[in-house]
Order: sequence, then structure tokens, then C-alpha cells
Amino acid sequence: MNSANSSTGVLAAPVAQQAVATLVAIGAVLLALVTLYAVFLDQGQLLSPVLGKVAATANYLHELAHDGRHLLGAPCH
Amino acid sequence: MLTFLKRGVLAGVVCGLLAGAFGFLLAEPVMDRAVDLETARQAAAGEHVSETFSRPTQHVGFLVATLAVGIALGVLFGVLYGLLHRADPEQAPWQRALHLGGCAFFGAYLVPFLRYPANPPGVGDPGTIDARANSYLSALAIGLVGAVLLGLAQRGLTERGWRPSYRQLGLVAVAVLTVAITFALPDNIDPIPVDAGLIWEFRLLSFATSALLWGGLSVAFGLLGERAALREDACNLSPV
Repeated sequence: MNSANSSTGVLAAPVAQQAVATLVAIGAVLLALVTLYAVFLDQGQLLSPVLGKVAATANYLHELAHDGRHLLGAPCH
Repeated sequence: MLTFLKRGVLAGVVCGLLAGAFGFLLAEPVMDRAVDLETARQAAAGEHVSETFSRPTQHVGFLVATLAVGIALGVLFGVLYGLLHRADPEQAPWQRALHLGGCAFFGAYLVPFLRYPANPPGVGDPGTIDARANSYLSALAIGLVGAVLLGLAQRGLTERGWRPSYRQLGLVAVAVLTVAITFALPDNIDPIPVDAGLIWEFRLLSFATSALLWGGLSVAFGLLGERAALREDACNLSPV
């Protein structure tokens, strides 16, 4: 993939590409972990900064993902 | 790394849709039955619980959740696969994907499931959810450590020249020990007020859906990797 760049002798480009790839990978992993948290563990924490107290009582994410949470084995009410 | 990430997302979409469709068709009717029983029990006890979402909305939510979980697992799978590939570029994609998927299914689903089997809606006291979540996460952590040990043992024992029979027995010992250790965790004390038939049916479906999720992910990822490798061979390029 990088061969076109490196063969022209531009060393910085592949290095920069690698750094971008690493950053994208780290970002994707963090996003994936937040998603798993939202589906399997959230009790209103993720939405409470936006919605305030109602996020915990209505528990939107938990209730929406309710069936998936039960079926995939995570603790639920 | 981005190649593997893309492959992971693609395989994640496939397995998320697959597990979602399976669960939607087979498990949702069972969960609806469980919810009806729960509502009837609450009505008999004189409680009135207002639900945030209706059942049809929760059915859609289930599909959204399985797809999101599929993609998230695909991302993690892709990154882990990329790191393993960097460490040992020689292993065949199909084999590596299945090994990684097998270890991940064992650690992330099977171990917590054997310790704290999934329960249908209507089982589980909201008051104990924090304690149950902690126990579950502990079992998950033990499972993940066990999964890593399985991978390390497979590699280490092969390098040490153990015979396949001894090596495989060694792996079984690691797996059994991992499961055994989780039984040091506290029991789930919540009462189960539904009949055993429903519980069994639900747990079987939980296992099948998760197996489909992880199996689909590994198989899709392995096939995509195999195709890419064959193409690369055809072009006679060295692997990146």
C-alpha cells in the first residue's frame, strides 16, 4: 500500500500514514469499547451529562438494548 | 492495520446482522413470553410499572444492539488480529481468525456464561444489578485472562516441541482451570420465579445467538483474509 510513496524516496509520507493508521485504530477501539459499555453495562451514565437525572430513571440505553443485553448474557433487571 | 480494521468492521456487520436475525426470529418470541409473565406477576402483586419503550420498539432496539455489538467486536477483533499478524505474518488468515475467534468466544462469552448463565427478562432484581455487574465483569476478566493464556500456551507449547496430544491436553487444562477459578466468585442470589423450561430454552438461545455472533465474525473475517491473501499471491506482491 505504501510502496508507491516509499519508492519515490519520500520517507515522511509512510511514517505519517502509519501514525494516522495508529490513531484511527486507537480511536476505533475506544469507540468500540464505549459501544459495548452502552449496550451491556450502562445504567444512564452515558446520557446523564446531556439529559440530567432522567437518564438514570428512564434508563434509555438500557431499555433500548434490553433484549440484546439479556440474550447475550449481560446482567439485566 | 487499517486493512484489518476495515475487514473487522465488514465481518462485524455480517455477524451482527446474522445474530440479530436469528435472535429476532427465534429468541424474541421467548423473551415476549417472559415479559408477559413478568407483567402478569407484577399485576398480581398490585405493582404498576411504566415501561420506557414498548415491546415493538425494544425489538428494533435488539436489532440495533446486535448490529452495534457486532461492529464493535469486529473492530476489536480486527485490531487484535493486526497485532498478531505483525508478530507472526506467516500464519494462514483462516487459521488465525478461527483461533482468535475461538479464544475470544471462550473468554468473553463462555466463561462468564458458565458462571452466571443468562436469564430471561423478569429474572433479576434491579436492586442487585451493581453487585451482579461487578461479579459478571470479574468473571469476564478471568475469562479474558484465560483466553490470552490459551493463545500463549498454544504457541509456547508448539515452540517447545510438545506432541499435539500433550499440547491439546495442556490447553484443555488451561480452559478448565479458567472456568474453575470463576467459581471463587460470589453466587448470583437473585430468585428465579419462572419455570425451568423457559430458562433452559432462553439459555440455549442465548448460547446459539452468541455462538453465531462470534462464529460469524471469525468465519467472515477468515474468509475475507483468505481472499485478500489469494489475491496478493496472484499479483505476486509481498504481504504488507
